[in-house]
Amino acid sequence: MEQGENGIIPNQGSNILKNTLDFPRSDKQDTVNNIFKIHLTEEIYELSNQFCKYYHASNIDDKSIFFAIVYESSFVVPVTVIDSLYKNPVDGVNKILSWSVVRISSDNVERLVVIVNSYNYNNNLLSYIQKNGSFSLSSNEKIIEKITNVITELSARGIYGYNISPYNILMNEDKDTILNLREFINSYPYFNEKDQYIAPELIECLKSSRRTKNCKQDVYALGVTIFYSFSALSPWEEFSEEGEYNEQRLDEGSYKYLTRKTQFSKRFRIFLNSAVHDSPSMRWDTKNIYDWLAKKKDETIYDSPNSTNKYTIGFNNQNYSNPKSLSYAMFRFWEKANKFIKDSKFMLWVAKQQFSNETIASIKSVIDARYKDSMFDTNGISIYSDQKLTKLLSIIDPNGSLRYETIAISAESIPETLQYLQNSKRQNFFEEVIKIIKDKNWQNYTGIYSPGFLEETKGNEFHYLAERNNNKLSHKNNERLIYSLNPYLPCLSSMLNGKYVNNIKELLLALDSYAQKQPNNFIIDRHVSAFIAAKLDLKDNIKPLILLNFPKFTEHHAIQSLSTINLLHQHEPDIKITNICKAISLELIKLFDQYLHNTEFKKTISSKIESVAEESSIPKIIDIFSNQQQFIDDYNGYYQACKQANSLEEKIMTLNAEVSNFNNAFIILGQKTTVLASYILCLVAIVATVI
Amino acid sequence: MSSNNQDKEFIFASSLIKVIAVFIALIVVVISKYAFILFSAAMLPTIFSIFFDRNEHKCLSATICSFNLIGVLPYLIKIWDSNNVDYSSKYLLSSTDTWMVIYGSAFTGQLIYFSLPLLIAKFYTSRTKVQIRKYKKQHEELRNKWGIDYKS
Repeated sequence: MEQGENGIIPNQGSNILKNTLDFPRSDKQDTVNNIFKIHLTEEIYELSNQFCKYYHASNIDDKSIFFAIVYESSFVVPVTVIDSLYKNPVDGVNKILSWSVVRISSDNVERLVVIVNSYNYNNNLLSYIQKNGSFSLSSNEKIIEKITNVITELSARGIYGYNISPYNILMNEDKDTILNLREFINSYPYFNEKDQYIAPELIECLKSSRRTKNCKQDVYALGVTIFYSFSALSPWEEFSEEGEYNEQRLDEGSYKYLTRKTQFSKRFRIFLNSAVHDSPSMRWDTKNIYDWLAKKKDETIYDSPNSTNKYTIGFNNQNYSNPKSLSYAMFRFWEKANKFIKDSKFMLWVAKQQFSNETIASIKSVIDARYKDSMFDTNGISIYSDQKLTKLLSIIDPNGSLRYETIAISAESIPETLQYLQNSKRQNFFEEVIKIIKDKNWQNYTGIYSPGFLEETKGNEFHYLAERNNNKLSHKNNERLIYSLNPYLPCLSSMLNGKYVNNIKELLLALDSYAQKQPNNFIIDRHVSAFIAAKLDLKDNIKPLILLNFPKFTEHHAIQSLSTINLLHQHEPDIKITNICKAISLELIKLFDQYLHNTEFKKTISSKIESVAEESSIPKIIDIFSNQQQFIDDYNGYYQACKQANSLEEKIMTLNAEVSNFNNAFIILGQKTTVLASYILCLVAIVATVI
Repeated sequence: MSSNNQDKEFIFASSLIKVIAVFIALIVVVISKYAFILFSAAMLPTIFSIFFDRNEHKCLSATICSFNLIGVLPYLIKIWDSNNVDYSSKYLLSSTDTWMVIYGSAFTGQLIYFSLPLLIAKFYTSRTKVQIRKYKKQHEELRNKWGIDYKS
């Protein structure tokens, strides 16, 4: 793709990663849209988490109480979800009343704040059942219907991941009916959920990487929630570690494991069997649930295909009876799995599974492929040797997540995962995600309900951005990749004085404000550069505009800042950047004072910059440097002068040495001269006497 | 090597005047014993300077010898020109002026020997320092114009 003027290229053909939403802003500190006052002294610690803090808030007029969710800047807030829920509230989900960017007085930082209806968080389905015991099937059907309505409506808007669990389902104060599902915009989907509510296909994923683009995970969570609501049983508590419960439920199948000790009615078993089915493609969707509610689904229960498997395989001192449980174990013990797949018993086990001939052939070709650094080809898909296990796991567990060595993620969650990993300084994981993107591992998954699945357009976009970040730029800039992938992530630069900056205009204003406060330290940092590059979709790093023949100038932050601000100002020419011009001028004067040589030239340039700075015109500043010859002359003249100075220094040193070392020689010379003079005098005297 | 040769040549040259003095003494001893006494007494500064000369090139004794000869040769010529050599020699021996002139001449030689080398050394040093100042001024101007830092 050709690069346009100023290094800008057209958008890559889709609006997937574009920021198209205008953020409302509140003028008043600690107040959302002049209506809701945030009470910063009243934090609700029970609801706060690492991504946001909950505070009590009140309506300024009628003093009614609400909850304010104040987000951390580093959290990728689901802004489009918030906007959608604010504009069109969904019955059954706690209502969003307002949202805007607000300056928070406690740390003087602008943050995104959402106002939601307040509720008694202690009165939820979990606490209710713990106190009063289970619900009847008919009561549960009401819960199912209400939550299914929520899932249906949100799915229609493309919103998924509602953190469904008994804890997040709020109860009516005076009735045994549910009120609402708590707002699910306070973390990455299912980040803080217990493992039992996480669908099997997502169980290996990082907590931050459980977002999918279908409702099957939410149906699973609903199924487990209803199981608990109906039975008040929690078989997962029999295990000291969540990992052990996961192994057990994957090996036996979630439904079988949950129902193994208790008898349920056939109707409930039909629901549970299909809602918590381990395979997302077999799991019910909302239409099936509605049919069940309408008593149209009364067919016999079908087991999970793998749960009836009699052929087990031993790996890492344990027996596994189905591909999903084996995949889970192989991912957890990656190094051992790499050796294990070479064992002949693995292929024997594969042959006894209910795999198609095509799948068995694919597994065989991956196993038979030699380890080497170069590419080899299996079934038309090119993969590298270090992807062998990744590829193999995608074949034996086609509904799984993207797995690579120590990390597993859902394909949809790649953008926020990168930000989460960068923010939590987990560079190794970050690199592994980049590897996943560069290898396009999502191509191994074709099932739309698989967390590893990604639409081709979006996959290409991710791949393009990752490749560009790693290959084409002069240095890796992870921030730039993150800003490109997360269009609603604000600029996280420390030089913005706590301003919530989400577009170029806001950035220019924030930088001008910074320049006013700190004119002597105006250095564009990595975050600002990355943010600009992402927002303007620059192909390469921002190129310096002036003095291209002088690397020591072009690499200097003052010149880079000048080039960056020039680029920004071209996009927002109406914004006054008086302070930025002055700050950059100061930096340029410092730069030239340090690097220019000829004192007269230095004075001339400095005075020109000072006079132009007053006019607040970046082009005029740039124009000062249009004639590079004078800088070349300065450079050449300096080196000529240095040579002369060295020569003079050498001469001075030589003469100084002569003065001290050869004083004796002068004395001897004088003595000899005296002798010679005396001889001449003597001769003259003799001649004169004789005459 | 050439420096050694030059040194040897100069030592020879500085000895030459003393050889001449001995040669004159031999001629004088043949002419008159009084004249020889006069010459011998007149050359006492040279004789002493030969003993006390620690200079590598024997410059001190050569200078004093030259000036000693300058002082004594007019009297020897006078003796040679007179009708009675012995008488003239005795007369000059007894004259205070004679010794004032001869030893004054030797003393002058010694003074010149001590002062002239110092003057020459001073002259050369001054000339070099003037040169250094000139170079330093040029260097300072370059430094100020081009902002060159001193190496030390």
